[in-house]
Amino acid sequence: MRLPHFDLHQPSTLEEAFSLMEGGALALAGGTDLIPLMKYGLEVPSTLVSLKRVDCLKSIARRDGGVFIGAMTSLAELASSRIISENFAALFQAARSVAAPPIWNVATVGGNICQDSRCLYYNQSRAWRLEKPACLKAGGNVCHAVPKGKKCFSVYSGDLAPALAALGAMARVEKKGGSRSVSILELFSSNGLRPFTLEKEEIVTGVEIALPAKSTNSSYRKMRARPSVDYPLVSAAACVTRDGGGKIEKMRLVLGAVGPSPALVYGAGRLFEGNTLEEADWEAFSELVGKDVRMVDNLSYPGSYRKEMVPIIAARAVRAACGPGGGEENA
Amino acid sequence: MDELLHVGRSIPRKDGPIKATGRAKYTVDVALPGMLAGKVLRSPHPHARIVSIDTGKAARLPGVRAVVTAEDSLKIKHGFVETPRYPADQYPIAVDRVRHVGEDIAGVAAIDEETAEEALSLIEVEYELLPAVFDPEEAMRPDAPEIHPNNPKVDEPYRNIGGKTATSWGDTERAFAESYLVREDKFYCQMRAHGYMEPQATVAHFDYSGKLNVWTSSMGVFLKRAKLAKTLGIPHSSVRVLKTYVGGAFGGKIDLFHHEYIASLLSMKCHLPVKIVYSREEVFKAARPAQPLIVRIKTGVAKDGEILGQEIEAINDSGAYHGSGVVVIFLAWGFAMAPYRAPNLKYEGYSVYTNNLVRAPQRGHGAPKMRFAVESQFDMIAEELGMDPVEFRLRNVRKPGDILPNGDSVKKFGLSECIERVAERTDFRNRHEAGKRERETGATVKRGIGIGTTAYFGGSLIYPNSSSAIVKLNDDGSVSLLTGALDIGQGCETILCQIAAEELRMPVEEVQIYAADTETTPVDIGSWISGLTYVTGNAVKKAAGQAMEKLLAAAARELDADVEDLVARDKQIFVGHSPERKISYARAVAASIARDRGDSIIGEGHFRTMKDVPTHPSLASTKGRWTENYSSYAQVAEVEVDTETGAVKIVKVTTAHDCGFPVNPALVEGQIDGQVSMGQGHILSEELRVENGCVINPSFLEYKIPCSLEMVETDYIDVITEEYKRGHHYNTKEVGEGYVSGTVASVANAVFNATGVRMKKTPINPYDMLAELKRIRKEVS
Repeated sequence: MRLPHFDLHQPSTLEEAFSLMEGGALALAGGTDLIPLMKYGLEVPSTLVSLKRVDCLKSIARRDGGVFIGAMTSLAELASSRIISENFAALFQAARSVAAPPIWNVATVGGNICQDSRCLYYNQSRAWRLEKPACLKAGGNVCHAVPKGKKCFSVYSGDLAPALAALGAMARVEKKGGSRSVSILELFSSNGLRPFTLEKEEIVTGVEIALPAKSTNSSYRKMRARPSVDYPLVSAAACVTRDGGGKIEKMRLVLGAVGPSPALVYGAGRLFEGNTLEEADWEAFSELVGKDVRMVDNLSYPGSYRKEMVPIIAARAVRAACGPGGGEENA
Repeated sequence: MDELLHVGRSIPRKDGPIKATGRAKYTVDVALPGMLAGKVLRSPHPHARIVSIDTGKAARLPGVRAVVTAEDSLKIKHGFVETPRYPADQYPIAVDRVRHVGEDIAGVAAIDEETAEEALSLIEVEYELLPAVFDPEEAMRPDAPEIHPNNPKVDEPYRNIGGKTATSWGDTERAFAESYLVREDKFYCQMRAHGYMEPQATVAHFDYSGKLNVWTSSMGVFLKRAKLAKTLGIPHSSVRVLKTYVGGAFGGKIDLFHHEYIASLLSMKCHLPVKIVYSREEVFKAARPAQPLIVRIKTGVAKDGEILGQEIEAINDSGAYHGSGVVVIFLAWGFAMAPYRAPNLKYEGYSVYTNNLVRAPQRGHGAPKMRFAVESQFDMIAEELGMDPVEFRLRNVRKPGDILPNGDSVKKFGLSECIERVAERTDFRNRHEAGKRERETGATVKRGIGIGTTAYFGGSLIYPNSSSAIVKLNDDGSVSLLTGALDIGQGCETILCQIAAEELRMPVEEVQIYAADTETTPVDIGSWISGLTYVTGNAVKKAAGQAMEKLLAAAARELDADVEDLVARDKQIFVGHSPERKISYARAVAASIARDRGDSIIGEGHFRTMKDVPTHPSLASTKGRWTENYSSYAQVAEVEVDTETGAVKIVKVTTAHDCGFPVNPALVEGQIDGQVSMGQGHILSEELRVENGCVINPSFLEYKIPCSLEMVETDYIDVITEEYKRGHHYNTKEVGEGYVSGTVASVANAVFNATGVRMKKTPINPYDMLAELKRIRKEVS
């Protein structure tokens, strides 16, 4: 499969990049998501603006009580960073659970966050898709995963975003003459057709995470078909603050791969507040977590099974966040 | 002279350096001046009549050099099997009708891939859609859509029967009546892909001398030549198939593939070389996947576990054409009956046409599916009898010298020793008891252990039935070995060089192999039916032996000694009792040329398995000999089952193997590891998912083949039953196919051991596993 023709710009400053983005170009980071989409004819940009030479986007730096991670930081750097592993276990584990190590060298933080949502019936070649009417996400009006479905059920499959959201990270979003800071979850539209709230010419230039209190720990757990390479089928990131007696003071739980955006579980923290893990009402937890997500048969495992796994993976994430160490990333 | 120099040793592969340094030339690397890019137009429909094809616009597109459809072909059918009962049933380009998604309709050759692709989109095909059927049991119903209306029918009340194998001995009814316990179970296996890394690729060049030169990723060049010549209607002498390195095949590259035919036809039309390389998607959607099988087994046993009778029915979904479907239903019988005694047996196998992809053999060709069924049921029976699975197997296993119902002897059959030794190494009996206790505990992750066994044939009679080899001594005493064998990664070039070097008592490094060229190398049986080391290896042994005889005769004359007194070592020949009398190979060669009418020293060797048997066994009745050498092995898998998610993890697989005489033990271990990995994919994760005949996971991302990080720990136990004997041929046995079966079966049994869940369908997906776990939990409460 070959790439369609396109113009490639490789600016070395952000200002240049912002100007180039104004004509309807797409930003290119590591390309591990965008290039396959282009080969499949799912994205056909006439112009790409590569951020590879914008050096100021490649760093992990302490900044005013927090850590700033540039959008072009590679996952390999993230997955070997001491600042990250010591402070943000969830993010560290999420980075190490992405695809396979060779891909970490190419893939970036910004690119991982901004990857398009996926579906077994959408992420197919042009030739494959020609055999069927176009689906909603491909500009048609049918859904192959849910017959008569009027809404796109494609699944956001990024690993970093749920972890960042659980950690309360903020994304820096910039364009020519403007910059804003939004929470990770605000980047998402909850619409599978167009999963991001970014404006056309906007670029996510980095993320900022406040350093956690000593008593706070986090973790990321991911279920996938093959631990060596696959996208998540369900994932969960938990960030837990406990008092000296092990009682949970605060908990933030975010689910991944449950729909077109990472999903914050409202009420999970309240459920556990003031309890140790042993005292916690796990039955209520199982009922609460994943209650509102709708998962359909559009990934390698059936939607009903994935939905059933949501509370299990979430519970594993919570327990791991309260445990001694990071442990294995795979659920 | 009896100390072995090379065979039986783990010498490094001959092709190791060239492959590791990226210099090995695969088909995709073949570049010829003026070469065109070829593409194939494929059916988007599972079943349709082709009303019309208009290639005018495509042919007029600038850059297009040739377009072909069935109208450019001779419309000669071919088949994996071509017998009076099963005549060829498939055109190499669809004529009037397509019967599966991906069937080849037209080919285009253009100056580059983009132009060829654009030309494909300009070909206008009008279809009339026909009703399609995808499930083999549905296709057998009398009201099912008929896929081959004009095909000769196997006489049955069912529809769409492409082939049937039926055989029986004894009286199963009586056996069941006398049985203490009778069980009947039905097992399902999924459709798998082969997962070879190198996609299908072909370069065809019909030159102005009228010769069609073909480079193609295959498993043997002579079969390709025969099928291309037949379908193109030209003599074998006008087709030359040349060697390229092969990036994996696993059974999936045997038969004629239509892109090979189309590339040839395109080249014949425009007299320019044409290259066709499949995309990964085409590999999954248009090449041939492996054979799925449904197996129903009824087994009756005595109270002490003795098998009294078995009835087996196997249903194969052959896809739109015969492919190897009519073979797999024969082989499935063999894999059912070979390892264990069944005094009364009735077998029926049906190969059923559907509108799915055509199938190819895959490593094991039916064995993993049949053994999964039989061995699963063995453990179910043993459990009901309160017997240990090892004792149950030892109670019924065939013993050395047993004669099978088809007249084959299992000779020095090592299966009972394999079972005993693998059980001992893994502490099976104790751990199996521990696994049963595990079922009762509340642990989230449960551990279990299971056993699976197989026997496998080594070489059988199918085209071209035999192998020949030529060994030439060069002037300096080094050796050139000419063989038609194609190394597909299994290491046959290394093995053949070891064998030649052994007979000629010389360094392996000085044996240069020239392989797999239909024009310049002698005929070869091919890298399938697990017969290459046995058949070609023994041909090489004979050729090298004959060359050695000639060399020794020349030396004896020069040294004025008796041949019997001579000793050869390091390319020197000595008189044994007075080693100062010696002659180098080089001088012996020169002496032969000087003295004997200019005779240079060339040895030729030919080998055919079962030389007293005229042809292959009957696919219909199973009558006739199958093979001379039955390998056997027992494998034990240790697993962990996560009872919250249903995920199964294989921790370790231990293999006790009887492969006859291992020419290269490291290659034997490589074969076992590769098969454990394939077995792992089969039992846990791999499945081609098909909706209305269309593969919905045509990529390595969505087709869940195990990756390097998933590889499980392996351990080996050698049960060596044969030895090297001077003057006799090698008794090597199969080592490249059967171990998939033991892995699949042992994992299924280990899962049961740990959880009490009996999975009768592969792969064991976590979601199916979890559903079963919940079902038995409910039953218990």
